[in-house]
Amino acid sequence: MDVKKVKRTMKVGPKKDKTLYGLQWVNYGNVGSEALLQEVEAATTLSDSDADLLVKEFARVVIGYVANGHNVDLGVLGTLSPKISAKAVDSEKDCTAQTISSIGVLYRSRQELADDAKAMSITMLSSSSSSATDGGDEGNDNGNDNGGGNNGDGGDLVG
Amino acid sequence: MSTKNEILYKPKQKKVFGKERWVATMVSKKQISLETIISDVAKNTTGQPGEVSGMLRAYLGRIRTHLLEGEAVKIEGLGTFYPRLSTRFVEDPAKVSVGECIKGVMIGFRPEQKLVAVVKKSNLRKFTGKENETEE
Repeated sequence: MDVKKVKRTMKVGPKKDKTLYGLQWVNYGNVGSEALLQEVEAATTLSDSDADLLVKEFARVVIGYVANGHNVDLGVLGTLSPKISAKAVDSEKDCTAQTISSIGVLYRSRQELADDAKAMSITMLSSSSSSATDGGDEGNDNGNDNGGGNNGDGGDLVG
Repeated sequence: MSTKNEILYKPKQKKVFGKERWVATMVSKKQISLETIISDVAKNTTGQPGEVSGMLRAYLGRIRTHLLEGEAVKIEGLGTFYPRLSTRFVEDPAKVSVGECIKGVMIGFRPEQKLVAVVKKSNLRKFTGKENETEE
């Protein structure tokens, strides 16, 4: 995994307005379904269009179960399930569906994958060698780990 | 698979800022195994179960490999899996190094809008205790 040096000006907290320096994951772009299907061609006798339909059906089936409140096992990747956030109330009888403020999706990585991720080798790029998309807003000192997708705002590349 | 999507919740007593309060918590229905997913996919496509199983397991295996190579992978309709860093920022730019600034590497997931929209439309029902479910 490649990381690059970034700087960030803190907007809140005891270090407000201070510029801090850290590292950010370098995302070279997502690997998409088409590329994956080409890679698994050898594992199947299905035609390209059938394999494509199969992957779409897989996503549809998983969505159906997650939306119906199930925890879905994705094999080597881990599990997906729905998650809820709710406001705290003083009595049990007030604890109704109306207190639920948001519904989302929770991913838990499989332990073996989490262990292998921890052991990944990390390369720090020199400041001018990256042409990739920002990795996103990774976790900070407070233990927040919020991002890592395509369009992060984790900081400015240090030149 | 039921056509009426339903997410179960139950009140749970929790200490919030030192005070005992009640919070609605998720009750997860039984876990759906990868075998069940494969079987459902095989029923709805022209693939034989063995063929579907081999292909989907290889597909998930490739996603894992890409993630461990530091790449993000998008599954159309579901979302994007990506390597996620837990980092520490320092005041002195000269002190920036992998050992100093990276506390851990995890795998994250960002659901696609379509998945979030479907889940948000699910009905919320209070857990009665009769269902064979597990509390989150």
